[in-house]
Amino acid sequence: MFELYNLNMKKWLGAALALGAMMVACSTEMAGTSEESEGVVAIVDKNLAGVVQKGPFVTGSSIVLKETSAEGNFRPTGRMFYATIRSDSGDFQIDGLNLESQYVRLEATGYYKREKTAENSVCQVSLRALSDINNREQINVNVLTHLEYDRTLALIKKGMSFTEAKKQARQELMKTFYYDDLAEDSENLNINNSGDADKALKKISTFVDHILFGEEYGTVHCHSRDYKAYFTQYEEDPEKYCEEVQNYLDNFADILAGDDYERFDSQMLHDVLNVWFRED
Amino acid sequence: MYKGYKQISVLFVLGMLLAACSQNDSSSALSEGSRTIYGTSQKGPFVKGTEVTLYGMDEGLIQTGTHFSTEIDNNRGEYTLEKINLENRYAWLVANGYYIDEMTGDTSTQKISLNSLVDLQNRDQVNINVLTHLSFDRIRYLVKQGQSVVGAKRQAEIEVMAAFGFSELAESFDQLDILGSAEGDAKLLAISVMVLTAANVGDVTSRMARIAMDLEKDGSWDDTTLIQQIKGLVSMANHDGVYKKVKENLVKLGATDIPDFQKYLDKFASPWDSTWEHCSNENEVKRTTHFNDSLYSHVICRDGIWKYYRGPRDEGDPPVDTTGKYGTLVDERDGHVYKTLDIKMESGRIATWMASLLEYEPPSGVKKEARYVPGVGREYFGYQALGWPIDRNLVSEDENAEIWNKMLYDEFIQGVCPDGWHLPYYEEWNYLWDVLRDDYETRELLVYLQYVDSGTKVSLDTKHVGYYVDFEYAFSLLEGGSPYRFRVRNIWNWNEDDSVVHISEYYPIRCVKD
Repeated sequence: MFELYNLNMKKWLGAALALGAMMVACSTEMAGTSEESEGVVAIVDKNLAGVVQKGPFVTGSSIVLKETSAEGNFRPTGRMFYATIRSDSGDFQIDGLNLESQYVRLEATGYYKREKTAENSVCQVSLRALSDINNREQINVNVLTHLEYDRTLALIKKGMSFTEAKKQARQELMKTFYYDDLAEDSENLNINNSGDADKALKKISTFVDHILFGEEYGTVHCHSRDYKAYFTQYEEDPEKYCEEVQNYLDNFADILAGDDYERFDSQMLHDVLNVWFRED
Repeated sequence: MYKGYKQISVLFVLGMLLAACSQNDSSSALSEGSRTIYGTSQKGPFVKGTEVTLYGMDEGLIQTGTHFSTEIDNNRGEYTLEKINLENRYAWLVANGYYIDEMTGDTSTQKISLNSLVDLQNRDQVNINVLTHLSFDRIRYLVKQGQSVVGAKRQAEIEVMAAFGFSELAESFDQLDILGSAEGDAKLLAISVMVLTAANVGDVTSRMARIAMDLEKDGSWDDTTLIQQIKGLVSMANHDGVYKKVKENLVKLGATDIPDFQKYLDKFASPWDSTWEHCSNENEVKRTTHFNDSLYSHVICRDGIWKYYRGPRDEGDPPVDTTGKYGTLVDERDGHVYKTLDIKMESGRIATWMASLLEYEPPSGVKKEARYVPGVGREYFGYQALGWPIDRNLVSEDENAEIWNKMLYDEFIQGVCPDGWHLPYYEEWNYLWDVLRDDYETRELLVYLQYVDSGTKVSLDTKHVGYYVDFEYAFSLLEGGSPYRFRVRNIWNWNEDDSVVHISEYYPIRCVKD
């Protein structure tokens, strides 16, 4: 775990890029082969509920559901539905949804209860999710939905169906963290449940929390500077600090979405993830 | 009625969809009939960069998907949403951002989100504030039960007022303004600072949500644990004079005619339950388990109200009579007046101690890291306390030798003290410690009363979150200069075994008369 502290952010991102590239390389043959478009259906009067968890988002956090186009291409129509988190377990509910497509984008924003300290995160973070809500009343937003979000969209753009894209993104993501494919939609997972996939989510969530805020001081340990430098920076300019944290999280997802990163050395990330995820 | 309406609304929404295919993310393509919605968003005022979003809602408060958003470009919480086209008169307004804390006057270090459920018929100006936020869930619930939005809004607003023990308002919550001068504004301001009386924003957010959700189903606030907790915190903050700063801060924010909000804080905070009736024995101290915290284990009767007490007296200890106990020291260098207290040493000699901390600002300037709370005390860099320059490189061999020599022969070291006074030397500290250990009266005279006197003047020049920090800040500084921690403050004995003493650290100073 200590290697993590010494990691230079660029190297870390580079490593993530590289690993992403490796996985993508393995699977490029699959991409673009499917032209099948799944049928788009309108959603009428649906009540949707779920939980938002990095750690659980705290009461008063928010979530927005974005309607996407009836063309089934995930392009937002501009219509949005808002809800607030109504318990410290991250619960939300949106009633009376009428949408032109079953495909939705979700984005939750808020402070969350940190796994290690049981305290609130010092920054608001945003997590996203993509889903097909046609056959579901329950949808969760978490680190896995966030990290597979960009990749799924990228694959859809290449011509994959939503189901295929989501599956591939999930498989790649789980592989990044040394898990076998868990064959469960990420928006079904809950860190408080005890299935294998739920446990994996919990561990990856804790890992991301560590990456974002470190152990004690609300710091990004894996950046090149030490925690004190970051702590001071938070005090001086919390807004900027929190922006950086969110960028970091988004970059991670963005990196996982891409294809062309062979020039980076993957050993670094390999080592970090090794420590975190291969002990079990 | 509700169900029938829903079906119509579905058709309506579908119609809207067709009409709005080309509609952009946050601005309408239609220009005819478009309007401007504006108002203020205030926890304290939200600052530049705050996002304000309006989500359209139908008569059943089901969202239509229509939304408009804007970013606030000023630090007064004023927002303007232009070119708004709504198919219904109701909307959910949300502000998310940093805000100016009414209590510290600083920008919050964490973001907060506030809701407001607004009726835009015949009205373009609607505000977002703590009361619109607290009534939001209740309104929505009542409408779900079949009430009209107008009726639900009215009922919820009366109930929220009643939850805090206040009478109903003439105006709707979304018309209130913490910088305004009406009684309703005063009530908003009082409740606004009540919920803010907490350690961090996470607490404030969840606290508000707990209240809003508690009110949701039955319109009454039943969570007695939370009520007592907030009443306790408000009572303590009241005691510490924290709310006095609110007025100053509001003036800075542009308020000209601030109504009496303090009376609503007082009304809410006391009496809070049967064991917390007004008290009659002024200065009586008693134990309490109310705050469930060893730091807050005692209360004292002041001005007829039980208030939180952190002094040395225990239950049953009579009040300390201060009559004729204090002397006076005038520091000729800056005219500052200090109280002094005589303590009889074992040898029979009287040691005259400053009863509060030195505040003198040395001509060599002060270090940025050294804390200073006017009326409470100042910290001095160790070198400086000894009367040396701030920079240790400027201390000559001779100066160094002189101090060592004086210490060796137990001579007084004046250091930063006024003429005729010196830094307490080892025996003086030691003896004082012995006296104070068993003598709560002297402890109260030397430490606690000074805090009470100055506690209302606490002001800070650095950023802190919430009043707690202010309070602890002043108190820790004070205690630092008290004998409770004398060992680490005994800086002029740095040659003693005590390895925790460093002359390159910061120390509050009390002087003793030569």
